[in-house]
Amino acid sequence: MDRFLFPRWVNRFLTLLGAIIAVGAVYAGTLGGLITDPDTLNVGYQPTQPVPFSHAIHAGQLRMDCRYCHNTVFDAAHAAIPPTATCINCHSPQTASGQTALAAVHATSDKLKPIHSSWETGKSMDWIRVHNLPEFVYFNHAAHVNSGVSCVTCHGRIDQMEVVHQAKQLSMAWCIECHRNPEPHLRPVEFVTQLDWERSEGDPTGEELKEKHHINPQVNCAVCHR
Amino acid sequence: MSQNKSESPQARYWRSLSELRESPEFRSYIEREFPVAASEFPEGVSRRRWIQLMGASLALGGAVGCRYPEEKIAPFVIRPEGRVPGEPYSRATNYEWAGRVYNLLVSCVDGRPIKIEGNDAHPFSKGGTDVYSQASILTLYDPDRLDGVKRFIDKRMRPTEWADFEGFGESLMKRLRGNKGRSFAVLMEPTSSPSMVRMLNELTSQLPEVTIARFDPVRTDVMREATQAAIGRQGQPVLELKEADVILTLEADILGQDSSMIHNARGFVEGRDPMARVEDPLARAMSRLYTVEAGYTNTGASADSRLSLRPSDARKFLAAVERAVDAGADVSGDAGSEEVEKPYDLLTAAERLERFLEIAAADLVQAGEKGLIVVGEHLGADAVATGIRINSKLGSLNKLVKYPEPVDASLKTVGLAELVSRIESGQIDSVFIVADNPAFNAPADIDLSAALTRVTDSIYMGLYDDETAKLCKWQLPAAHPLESWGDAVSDGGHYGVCQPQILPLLSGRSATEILARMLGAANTDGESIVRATADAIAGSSLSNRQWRELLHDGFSNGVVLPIEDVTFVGATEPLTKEAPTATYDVDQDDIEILFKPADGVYDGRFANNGWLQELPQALTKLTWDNAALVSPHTAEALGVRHGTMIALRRGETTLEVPVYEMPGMAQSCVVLTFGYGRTRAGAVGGHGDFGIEPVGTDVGPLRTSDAMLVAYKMESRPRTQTYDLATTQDHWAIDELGRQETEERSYKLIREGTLALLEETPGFTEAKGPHVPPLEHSTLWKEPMEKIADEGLEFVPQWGMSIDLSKCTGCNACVIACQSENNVPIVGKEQVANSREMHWMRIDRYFQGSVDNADVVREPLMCMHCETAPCEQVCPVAATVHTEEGINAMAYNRCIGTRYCANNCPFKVRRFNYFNYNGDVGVGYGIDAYPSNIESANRKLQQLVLNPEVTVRGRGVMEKCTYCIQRVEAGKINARKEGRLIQDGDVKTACQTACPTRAIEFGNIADSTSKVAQARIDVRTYGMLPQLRVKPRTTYMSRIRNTHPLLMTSKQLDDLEHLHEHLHHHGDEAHGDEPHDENHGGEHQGEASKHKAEAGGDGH
Repeated sequence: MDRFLFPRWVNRFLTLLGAIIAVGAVYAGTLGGLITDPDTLNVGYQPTQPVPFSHAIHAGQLRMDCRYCHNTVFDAAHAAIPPTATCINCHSPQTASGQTALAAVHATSDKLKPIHSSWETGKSMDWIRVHNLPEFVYFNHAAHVNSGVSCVTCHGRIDQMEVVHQAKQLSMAWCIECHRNPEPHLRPVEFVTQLDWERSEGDPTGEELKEKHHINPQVNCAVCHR
Repeated sequence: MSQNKSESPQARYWRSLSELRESPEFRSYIEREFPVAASEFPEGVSRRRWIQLMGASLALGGAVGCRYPEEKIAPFVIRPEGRVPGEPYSRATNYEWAGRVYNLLVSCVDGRPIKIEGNDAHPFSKGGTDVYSQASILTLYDPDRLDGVKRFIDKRMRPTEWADFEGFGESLMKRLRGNKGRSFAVLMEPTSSPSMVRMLNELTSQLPEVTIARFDPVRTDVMREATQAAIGRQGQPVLELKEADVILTLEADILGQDSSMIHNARGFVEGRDPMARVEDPLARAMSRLYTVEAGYTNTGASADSRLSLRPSDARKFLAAVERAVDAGADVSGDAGSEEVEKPYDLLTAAERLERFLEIAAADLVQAGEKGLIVVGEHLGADAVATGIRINSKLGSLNKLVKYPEPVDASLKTVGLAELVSRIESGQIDSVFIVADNPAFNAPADIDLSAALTRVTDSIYMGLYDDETAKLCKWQLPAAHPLESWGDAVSDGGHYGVCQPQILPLLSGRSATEILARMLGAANTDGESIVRATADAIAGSSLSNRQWRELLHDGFSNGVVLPIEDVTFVGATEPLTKEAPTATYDVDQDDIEILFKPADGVYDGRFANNGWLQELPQALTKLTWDNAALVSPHTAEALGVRHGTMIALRRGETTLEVPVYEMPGMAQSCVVLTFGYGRTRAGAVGGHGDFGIEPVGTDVGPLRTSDAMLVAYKMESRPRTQTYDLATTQDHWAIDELGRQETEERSYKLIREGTLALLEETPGFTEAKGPHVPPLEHSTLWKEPMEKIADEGLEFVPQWGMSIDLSKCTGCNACVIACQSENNVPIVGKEQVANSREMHWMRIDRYFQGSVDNADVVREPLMCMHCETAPCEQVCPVAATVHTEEGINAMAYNRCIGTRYCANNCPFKVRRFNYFNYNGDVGVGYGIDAYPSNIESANRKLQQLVLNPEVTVRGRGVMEKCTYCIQRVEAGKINARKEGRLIQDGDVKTACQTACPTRAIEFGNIADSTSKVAQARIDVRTYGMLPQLRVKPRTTYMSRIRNTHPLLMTSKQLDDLEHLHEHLHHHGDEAHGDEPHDENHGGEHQGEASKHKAEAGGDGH
């Protein structure tokens, strides 16, 4: 049998094929290189929460410490979302008889309805998670803040955010950057939650802190993946 | 293989008969890395079965999309004080489970128990655990558990409410008060719960004529009868093995099935420090354990000298020991004259018996009050009483063995036979069963099932809708001990409270709560019932502070039941006058059968626990099955082989069981494990209603009331059918046969010696290893470990492990602990038969000697974390890499499943996920296959057992021991929180904490003060396969047997004579890297002859 040869009229499709390949390459490049880049995909993620809680007011204007609400951050892997009871400390609802606690702030606010109904029914609030890592990453807040890595390093200036959004990539490459070169991100542990802290004259340098506290952020797989 | 054959079998170690006989099956295990094609999927019916098994587990489904799916965070409304979301916490508890009392700490995360640990502070169990306690957590989340009250109405069981039963209970009690309870019976198991006993006493006072029947299918009442006769009251022996010098056990599995195994094992190893005398010649030597048994048990494998005798001969042996004790036997005179005699292993069976008896008895007499004899229940109450008498004569009674009274001794109980006859006579018309599945375990000649169908009101309280539940009119879900209040007294006398870790998942209640309601007690909630009991035991009302302390610590030195001393008051006539004989000729009509509970499923109550079904049983390494264990010689004489069927007959009853040939067993003797063949266990253990076949064979038909533990004069006939037994014994065999050149060097994976050898040649362990010449050149690249020093990271811990083979009793607790901690899936019998079991940790079993008189050495094996790991070098995607801390880490997400690493692993510790054991089988078939939502919600229950700190692996991913990397990281982070460097004891692996004997040490080997570093510089320490220069981080300490010189085997004597420490150093200059020539004769002479031969320049 003769070898099969493409007939001549096929040639006119060659240009088309070339065009498809070129467009395909651009498409794949855009999709793989830009659209799925953590910068595009993750940074700026800003879901709407059931209660329009403003970190800018609480953490910024009122200068409440992060740990007033996220109080397990120094002890646990998770910086716990506060229980409803924490909100109620200030925002207790009106009682059935219309009485308002003396110190209650916005006791009748509509925006606080979900909090008040959670308090009354005993059902949890459903907050939407903003900073989310894959299941196979075992990130630990306590390990970082106890080493002097500030909240701001990963979460940005939460104290200026009206609605919280993801400020950093939180990708593996981004994590490793700091694990390889932690010094610029280290500060004395007592200033970890002070988001506007800046190193001034007399403060220990990152190198000094690293040396003093034996900080050795490893980059092997097992540190985060188990 | 020729040189193998030339080697004397006495000197070699062999894992199984097929290796000894070099069967084609074994060769295929060695030659093929993966014995069957990876793509082979289970077929046909068995495929469905396999899927059902897999339905027991499930992984979180993940949606596909560019971003992760939106996740909700639902915080507490009011967070309990001290609760840190997502962080594990542990709580003390004590409970009775499988006839043992456990003192535990339960690790919970977010209110969900995930791991069982021993309570280190407890004075009796000292933090030890075992397989049953470790696996009890899987039963908690078993979706097949009884999920609500059910009542038999209109010809079938229908779900109803607790309130319905409460109403029924009230009317029942009203009716019973009329006849003083004459028509009512409670059927119970032996209990260590004082609250339960208090409730039953209360019941007796309200209903004076009530029948309380007690049935113990595992141990029966032998010990109670024996102690009643010997010391005048019931007693449960508690051994103080730490203080003993000489221990002789007769058919007593003190380190295996004994109810105080955890305490015994710890005491045993504490009395056996092999180095004590090496360091200080005046120190007390290690104790010596003589074991006489028919089958092969953990005790026999741990013994210094072992004699296999069938039960009838063991009784005569016991009588002979007593005669020797009476005569004050003295062996010192004979010792000299017998020196020229043959080594123990070259004797005939009869000579062995004679010498063993003479020496063991003499040793026992010499030890006097430091000598202890332990007689097992299998030999009968009179033999047990004789044992007590001998201990009394030796002076060790009350010193080495104490007899606390069982907690339930005060109850007036009847036996099962009496209960059935009272039902049949019509006296009893209502029965409350609080025993675990008695209908399945009842003796074959007592028809409890028929009796139960006769009574008008039968109430069954249990964990499952099992064989007994089916016969009853009421089914009440029992609460698991992790979800209910309760109490238990440990054998040491400490009262312990069982506090719930979680609210009942399936609306279960405890027996005491149900009884309290029926009795109309003022307080019917679990806590107040238990607290009232605790007050009664303490003698005064406990303050809130004391109560909380009792709960917090798990015990209190103020709440202890005293153990009173006993005196022997029994009969003095000898057990028998006959002399023991070592039967070697087999008569097929005179077979003795021993019935033993299964290593995993116990008496069948854990049949639906996948971990326990798949657990390789201690000495047989058999999974998902039971078999008739017979010695190879007996098998031959009976005309059966490993894997064929044998028919055992007694009167009318015939039972066919597959044969498992077990070296070292007594002749004319069969060991059968009961607890298998359940027909209503559940999706894992078999369930007739759903077409799930039973696992294993029910040996119940042979167990009659006079032969619950041992049956004499059985007939045996061969059958021609074959049966596939799924064992793990030949799996993951370290590829030694393949390497002919290094055969002689590498067979010493396991090193052992006698105490005499250790004292004469302390460095024998190293001398027994292969000759590894020093490297004269440096390697081309820097090992990861060498970089540490260069980079100035000396403060980085270097993890390592040391396992003391002298302490390991092979109990398997570590295997289950590892499975529980690391989310290791079960794979089912078929997959085990394909060598696809997933256990990260295995306990290798090696025999040494002949098939008739085999010694056993066990070696726990998991990833060695080699510093120059061969697996890392072949991974094409760097999915397995080293950390700076010396851990060989697995990055599951990188793994593409080439399996090169498993191929290149010299220790065969890597496991491959051939299927999505945790994931899509569970989601795709297991759950969706069940129609209703309730079913699927229930199936999800099982998911709760998974450890949230460990990734659940999917199909196509390699996995292996990680040194519990999650615990390592947690330890480091905790140290960071406290602002200090990591210390010894911060990190404990799951296997380490589970071990009842503390055989495993783990820690920072760079810190010379750490326990593990201390262990690694011990003279007994060796690393496996040193000639490969992989530098394993896990090292072993050689097994030391304190064998009497006259009972030493030829190998042991040979070592003693020829082995010298300096063997290796003689030839460094001569043959640096030259391979040893292995093909000369006389291999059984060991290293000594090899080197001699080389010195003589043998020519090949």
